[in-house]
Amino acid sequence: CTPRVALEVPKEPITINLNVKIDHEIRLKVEKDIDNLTTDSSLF
Amino acid sequence: LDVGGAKAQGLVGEQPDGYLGVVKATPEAVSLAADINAKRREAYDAIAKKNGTTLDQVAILAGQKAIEKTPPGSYVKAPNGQWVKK
Amino acid sequence: MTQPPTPPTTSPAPRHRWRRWLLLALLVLLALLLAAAAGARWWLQQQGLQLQGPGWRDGGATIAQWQWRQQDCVAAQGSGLRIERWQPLTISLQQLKLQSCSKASRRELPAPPPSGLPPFTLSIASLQVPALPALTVAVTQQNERWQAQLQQGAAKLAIDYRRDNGQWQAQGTLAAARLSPQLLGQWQLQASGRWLPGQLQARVQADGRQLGYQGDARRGDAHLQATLHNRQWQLDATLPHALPLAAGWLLQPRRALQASGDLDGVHSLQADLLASGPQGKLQLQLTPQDHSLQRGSGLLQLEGKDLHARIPLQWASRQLTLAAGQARLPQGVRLSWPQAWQLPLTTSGSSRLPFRLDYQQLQLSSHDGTLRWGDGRWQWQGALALAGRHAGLQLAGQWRGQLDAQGARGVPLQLKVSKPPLALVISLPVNAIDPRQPVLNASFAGHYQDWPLKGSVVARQQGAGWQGSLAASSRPPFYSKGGALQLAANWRGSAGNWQLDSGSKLSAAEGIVDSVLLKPLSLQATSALLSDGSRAHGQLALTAGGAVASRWTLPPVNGTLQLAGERASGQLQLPAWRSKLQLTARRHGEGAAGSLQLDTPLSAAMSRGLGVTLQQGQLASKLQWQWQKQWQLNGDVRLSDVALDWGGILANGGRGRLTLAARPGQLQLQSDGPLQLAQLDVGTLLQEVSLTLRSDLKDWQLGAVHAKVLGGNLQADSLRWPSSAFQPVTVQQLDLAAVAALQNDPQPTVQLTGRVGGTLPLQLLPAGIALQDGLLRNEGELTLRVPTSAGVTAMAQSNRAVQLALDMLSELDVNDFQARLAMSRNGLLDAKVTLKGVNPRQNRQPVVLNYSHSENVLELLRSLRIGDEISRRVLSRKQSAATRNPTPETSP
Repeated sequence: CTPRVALEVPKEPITINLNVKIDHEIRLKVEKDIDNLTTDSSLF
Repeated sequence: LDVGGAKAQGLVGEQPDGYLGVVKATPEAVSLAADINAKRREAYDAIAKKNGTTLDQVAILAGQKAIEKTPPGSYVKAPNGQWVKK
Repeated sequence: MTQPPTPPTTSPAPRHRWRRWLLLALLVLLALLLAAAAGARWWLQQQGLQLQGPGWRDGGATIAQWQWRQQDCVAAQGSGLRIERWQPLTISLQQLKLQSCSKASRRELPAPPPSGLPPFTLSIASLQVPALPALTVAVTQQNERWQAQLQQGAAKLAIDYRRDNGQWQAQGTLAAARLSPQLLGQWQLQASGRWLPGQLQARVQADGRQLGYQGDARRGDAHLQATLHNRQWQLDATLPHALPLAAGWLLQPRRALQASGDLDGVHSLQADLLASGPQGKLQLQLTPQDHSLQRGSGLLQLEGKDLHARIPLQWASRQLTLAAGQARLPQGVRLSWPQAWQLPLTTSGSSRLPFRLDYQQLQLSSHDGTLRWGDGRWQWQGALALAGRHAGLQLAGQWRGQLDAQGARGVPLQLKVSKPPLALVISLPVNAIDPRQPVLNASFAGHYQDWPLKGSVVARQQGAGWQGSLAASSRPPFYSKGGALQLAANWRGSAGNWQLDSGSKLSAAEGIVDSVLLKPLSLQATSALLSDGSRAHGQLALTAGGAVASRWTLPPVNGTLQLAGERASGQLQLPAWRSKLQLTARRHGEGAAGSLQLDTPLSAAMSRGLGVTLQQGQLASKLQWQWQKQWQLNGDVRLSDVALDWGGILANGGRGRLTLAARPGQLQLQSDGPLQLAQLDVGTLLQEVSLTLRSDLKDWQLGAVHAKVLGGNLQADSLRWPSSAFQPVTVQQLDLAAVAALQNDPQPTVQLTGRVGGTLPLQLLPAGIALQDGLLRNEGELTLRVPTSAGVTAMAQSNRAVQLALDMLSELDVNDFQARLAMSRNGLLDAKVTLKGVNPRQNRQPVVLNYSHSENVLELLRSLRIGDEISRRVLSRKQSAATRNPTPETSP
């Protein structure tokens, strides 16, 4: 086999910026459940 | 004796921790409070599980709501622990 | 004696003429007879003699009733007189009653019977003479020689009297029992003398033989000499031996009595009686001051081991006066009477006897008490007052009523007993008490500290001790409502050892204590409870209905208690919770100490008051308790197989051992060896959690914290909560795939493999956790893949740069991964990640990815928990459906 030397030009690293923001909207649900509960006259 | 009647007679009152408190300790008032609080705890536990939060957090939210909804003339427990008429 | 009437005589007459003469004679005779009878009657009446019912029966004259009066004083009265025979004259009399009519202050010598009487015999069936029982008498008189036989039962007296020269002598015997049933022995009488008109001499010798008292073996003799010379008499009584009296007392041998005087009174009298008995000696000396024994003085002396009194006494005009004074009686009792005692010397009378009895520090006194006696009975009437201290108790009592042999009648006895903090008023009705078998039925009311006390005691004598029943009620002060306490017991015993019978019961009604509703409870003796007054022995059974509070309840409790003097033990069960409690207690200095062992399964029912719900588990605890002015508790608690949920957060496989030290307001918990949890699911699963713990329930110090999480593990040497400090927690070998899986996205856009680790400084706040300067680095090679997916290709087409980026990121071998993390207390996480790697597909093009991620982790974990909860519910509904109709189902 014949060695083949290839001179690679040092590649410049590619920089990728990725921003992720995740929101959870489950807070409202609790208050609705509690609202229903507190209108139950047998308990409140 | 139901919750409404007991509140009207000033026997029990709502507390910030979401549970019914005994204002005037009579056997009926204590038994009623115990029974109601047990049922409330179950309800809070179900809501907590459904919403992935803790029982105490649900109870505190319920407490605030209950105090808001208390008709004037009934007792509520102030943050300093005293019973006051709304 | 009385003069009997002389009888009429009759003679025969010739026929015809003589028949008329005869008739005339008879008429004259009859007239004479009537006149004689009338005359005799008249004469007799002049003599004060009244006759009723004269008659004639089979050969003898009879008079039913007769009376002899001297100036309207019935001196003699008789009935059933019958003249049996005329020659010699024999009269029999059923009953003769003599009375002394002499009013004269100066007594005269009795005149002898008249002389020159025809011989006669008189027999009286029943002669009644004042102060003597009925006698039977037989008197015969013949030419001035009188012989009389007096008899009363076995007692006989024979008198022989010669009316001509006045000589007489008499002798007789008398059984002592005739004087009083308890006396024993015989009295012999020898007497002689001369009895002529205006002259009476007598010398009497009475000898008591073998005198004694029933129930006392000792016997003694006594000699009595008396001489009478016309009006002067002289008496001398001596006791050669001790003479037994009642109740073991003895009259000591001595010259007991000398007296002299005349018919009108006593001139001199020396009495010197000395009695000695088990309690001591009693000496009575009497010296009259005048003739008629109407006045005199004396001294009563009591002398003995615990008996001492010197009571000067006087008597005058039939009244005995004991000077004010005192007497020391047995058992240290002292009797004193501030005013003199006036005692009438009559067979019936009354006397006011104010007195005071002192016994140790107790005083029983009476000011207006009067003693009444008569015809063999006595009665005391008045008021008694008791005051003083005894056995540490302050006593004050009073009573008013009557006291006699049959018992007491009057107002109930009132007694105030107080020994702070105890105060009782006891009321004892006395009317129905039979002194032979007394049954006392007292009621009491009062308080002990601020416990009201009310009740009643029934007591009756039982051999040497007493027995009866006790019913008492009270109300513990710490009950704001209800809680009435009832005790119903039967008791027996005597001082020093008392017993409550088995079955005695103490029960408390339902009531409120500090707004906790205590259900009814009762304590019943299942064996006799023995006590010496301070310590008790016995078995008790406890049944209690439990307690209800607004946020927790305690189910019914029952069990047994054993009292053993200084020690006690108990075994209690709470069936509803299947809990077992072993108690021991012993007296310890001022207070008490003991052990407490609790074994109970943990259950949801127990968690009513907690924010956490205990699903299962086993708790075993061995504690030592001590109570000395305040309580103290220390020991260990072993937990095993504990599973609980905290709302959405589940934990199971909990076990460990804690030591506990508690006193009022202070609790110290410390793990002994690691506490372990098999699983803790906070949304993501922590496994094999292990930590040591030290806490006072306010400040928690964790140590050697280990857990497996996200494929790696978490570790912290010590964590303190709550604390504002940032405390390092190191994580290692976290599997990025697991971290990515947190997104819970079925087709995750990014696939990551490889392990990361680092330190996360946490701020453990009371209501949240914050993270600052958290740094995670790669541990070894990481890979990143962005597999082609509809989403990815859509994004790629939107923008050339994005497409280039996605191409670059499609496959990345990362050798340098750094994540800087920060999280606020409300859970908002900011992650700044830089990845350096090469894309093997783009001939190892180096790529640097700066990835910032912002998300609320707590919300994330909550949403994961909600996800878990939903899947759990679906699963359980499926299982229950399967069990309801078990149709074969192929597994998915």
